[in-house]
Amino acid sequence: MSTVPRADRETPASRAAGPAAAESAASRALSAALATPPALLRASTPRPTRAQMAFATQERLDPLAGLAAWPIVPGIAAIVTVYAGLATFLQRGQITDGYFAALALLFVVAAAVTLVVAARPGREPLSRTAAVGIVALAVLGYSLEQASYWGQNALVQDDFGPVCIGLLLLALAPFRPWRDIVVLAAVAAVAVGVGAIGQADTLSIVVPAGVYAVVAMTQLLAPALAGAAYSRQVVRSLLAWQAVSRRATRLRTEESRELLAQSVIDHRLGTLGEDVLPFLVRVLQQASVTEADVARAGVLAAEVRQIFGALVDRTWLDAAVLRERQALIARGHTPQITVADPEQVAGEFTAEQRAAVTALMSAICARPGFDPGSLTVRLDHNLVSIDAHFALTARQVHRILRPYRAVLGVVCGRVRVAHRNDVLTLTVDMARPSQN
Amino acid sequence: MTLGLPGHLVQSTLSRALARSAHWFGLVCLFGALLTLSILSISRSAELWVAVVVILGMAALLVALARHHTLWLTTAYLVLGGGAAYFYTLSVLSAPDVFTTSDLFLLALPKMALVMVGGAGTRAGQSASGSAGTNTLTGVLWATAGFVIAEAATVAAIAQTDVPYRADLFTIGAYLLLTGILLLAAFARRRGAAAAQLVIHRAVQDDATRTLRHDLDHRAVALLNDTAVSALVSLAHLPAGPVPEHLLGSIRGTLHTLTETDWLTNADARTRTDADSRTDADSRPDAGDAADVDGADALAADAGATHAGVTDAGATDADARAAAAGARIWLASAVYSAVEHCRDRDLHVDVTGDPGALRRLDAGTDRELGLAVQQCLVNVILHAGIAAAEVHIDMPLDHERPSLAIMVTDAGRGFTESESAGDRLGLRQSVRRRIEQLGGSVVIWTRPGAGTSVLLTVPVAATDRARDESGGRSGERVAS
Repeated sequence: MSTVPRADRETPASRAAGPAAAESAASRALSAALATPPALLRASTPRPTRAQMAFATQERLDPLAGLAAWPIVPGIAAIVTVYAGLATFLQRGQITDGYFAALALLFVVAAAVTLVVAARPGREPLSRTAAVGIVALAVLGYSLEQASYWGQNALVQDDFGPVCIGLLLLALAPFRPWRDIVVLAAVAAVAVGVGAIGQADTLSIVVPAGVYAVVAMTQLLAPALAGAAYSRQVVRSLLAWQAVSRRATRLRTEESRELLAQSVIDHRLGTLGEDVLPFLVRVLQQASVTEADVARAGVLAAEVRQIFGALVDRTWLDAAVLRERQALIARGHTPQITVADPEQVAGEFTAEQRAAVTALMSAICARPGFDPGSLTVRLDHNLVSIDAHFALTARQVHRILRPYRAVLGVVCGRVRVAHRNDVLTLTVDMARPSQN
Repeated sequence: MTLGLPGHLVQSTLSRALARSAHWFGLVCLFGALLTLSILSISRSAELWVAVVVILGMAALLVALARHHTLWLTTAYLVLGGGAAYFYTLSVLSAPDVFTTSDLFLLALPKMALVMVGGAGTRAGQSASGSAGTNTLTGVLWATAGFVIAEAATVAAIAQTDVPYRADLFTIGAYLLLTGILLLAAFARRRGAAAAQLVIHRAVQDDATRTLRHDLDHRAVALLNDTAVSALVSLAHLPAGPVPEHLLGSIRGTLHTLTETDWLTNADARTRTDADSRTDADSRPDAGDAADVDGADALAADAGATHAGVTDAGATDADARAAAAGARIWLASAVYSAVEHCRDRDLHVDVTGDPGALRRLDAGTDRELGLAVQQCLVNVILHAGIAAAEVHIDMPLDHERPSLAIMVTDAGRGFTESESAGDRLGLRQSVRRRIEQLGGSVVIWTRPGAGTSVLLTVPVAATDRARDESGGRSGERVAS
């Protein structure tokens, strides 16, 4: 018998106590469960494999942590932009080609903007292509900066290029695997090292050329490798936690297997019990059938098939809607939840996509201001649409949905949210993001 | 994956990652400082060795700090780091007329490494106070201490040279960057995200439970379709009068199973046990020969009769033994039972191909495959309008994904699959879903008036293939 508290034991009473109480009770139970894993779970934490580490990022493994880390992106983008502008202004006396200087600024700003756009929550995860693009733009900016100072550059340390590239790579830490960051940093470091050595003859401080390369490369590598180290450490921790968590979920599910099986037996025999089994018993006793019996057998077969057919066609979405409907009824509402799956795509959802959409529905239904008679969920090929009436401001609705939007963006695809005239329209592109 | 960290693990995990990040920032700076000293020493005298030694010591201490986050090591790092910054600054600036200002990135390298103690300090603070929630704020205090000590050491060193002091923006920038990130880490996880995380964790658990229930439901429907619904359909096709004995036996078995046994729990437990032991069974070198012992000998005697027309007159004893073993497996299989069950209902079934290939199936797969074949044959009886069918067993030649294929063919009236009624559960549940749950596939070729062929393919373990091939035989060809 496990001592782990059961988070899934939700009673009508807890539902009836209102969304806050229900959520709070469930939260406490789940927190307790998570805080006190059974000894079996603590026994061994599997080490993440090389393949897992190669593609995993903090954003993919824990979209809410990615959301929490998001402010660092516009922050660093702003620092990069301001720093590049300020450095250019302060060194304006060394500029030999204003056109190149302007272009250099433009490319670095473009790299920062690309970072902000690509890492924005609610979108698919930042891809390797985007990361390469960001660094390429920044390196190009650095090259143009060097071209604009060529022959007049006084100090390598005052160039904005290496610092900006390093900071941009640091900002990629929650969004890209550590290997990607290291490789990009190494390539960029070679570029800035060569650029620094190339100007050794004209710089104001007379030291061996290697010192210039060290300065430029350290400016880039220190923040970049710090970002890679962060990415590696946090991904390892997340993978280890997820392995333990999945095992806990499996154990809790297995614990309920016998109860569930008995419940299924009771339900299914209930379907047959009233008519079918007595009919078969009678046929067995008589060992013969009449015309009426034959007709009756046909009718019963059709009825049972119809019931079973409906059961077989029931999807996770139906189950989720039923659950929310019951919860709303328990709170004294009269729910009207409409589900449409004309192309029958529900079966194609992965476990994490099902969990993300179900969690979103739970969050919507549990919020004050939600009109319980207004929820519509529609699944189409590559698109999930959710409509609901919310008596809240657009700002409040966006704030409520922000975490779910981040999760859906990672596990499903791009999320669009519109809230006009109290009507929330949320669409999710189901083009699942690639591993890269 | 949506299984993000729960609230109580966020701070400690972030602290660890930020500490690691800060260590690497500091190490890169110290490595840069060492490289600088090395390059400068090429063109200058050897007075730089003191600085090299203290920087190496500082780097060693940082590595130690990365491995053991203790208050003592953190303090020692601050003290030694201050000394290193002092000697490094003094050594670099000692060359006359080379460096004319103190706000150089080169001079900031050990200072930035010292500031990075703030990242390490997040965990040192954890060890000291035991409070994960205040780690990152403790880190800010350590970073501030590192910054102050670094600046003080540099000022003291610069005071002994002719170079005027100017605060460098790099150390200040590194300090602000680190403290900014630490503060962000401390306050970024707000209540909304934590609540959402709980809702998502609950959704994941609910989904796992629902999936299990869904599977049990499907298994129950398939079983009931095989038994109760099948009996009803058979009765619905009878003329008025006595019920054939085999159907009465079938109804008796159905009632017994449904009312007097824990049918779903038993079937489920068997399946799970089979799944758990599958790997072990597959790895046993003689798994396929299990039928050679005990009661299987009786079947072997039958096999001799069944295969009498198959074994060549000139076959060796070894061949005969192998044929008998293959036949034993066939006669013990659920597919054989399914065929016999339908033969009892006056369906003429020809079995062709390689029934010995069924040895590759574990018990659970054999049982499920047998039930699927039975449903295909029952469909022939009920819907094909013909009393004959063929069951062909074979192993497709695919070394990467070994599989076993069974084709059930009839020359009956056929049907249009897309137009078959939605409540027709036989093909959907008892065949298609059952096989798909085994990781296999079902392909149906049919059209009205042109008969029906159902191809069932299930994956099998690869372990027996080598033995089959080395034995020069993939099974005996039989026709029963």
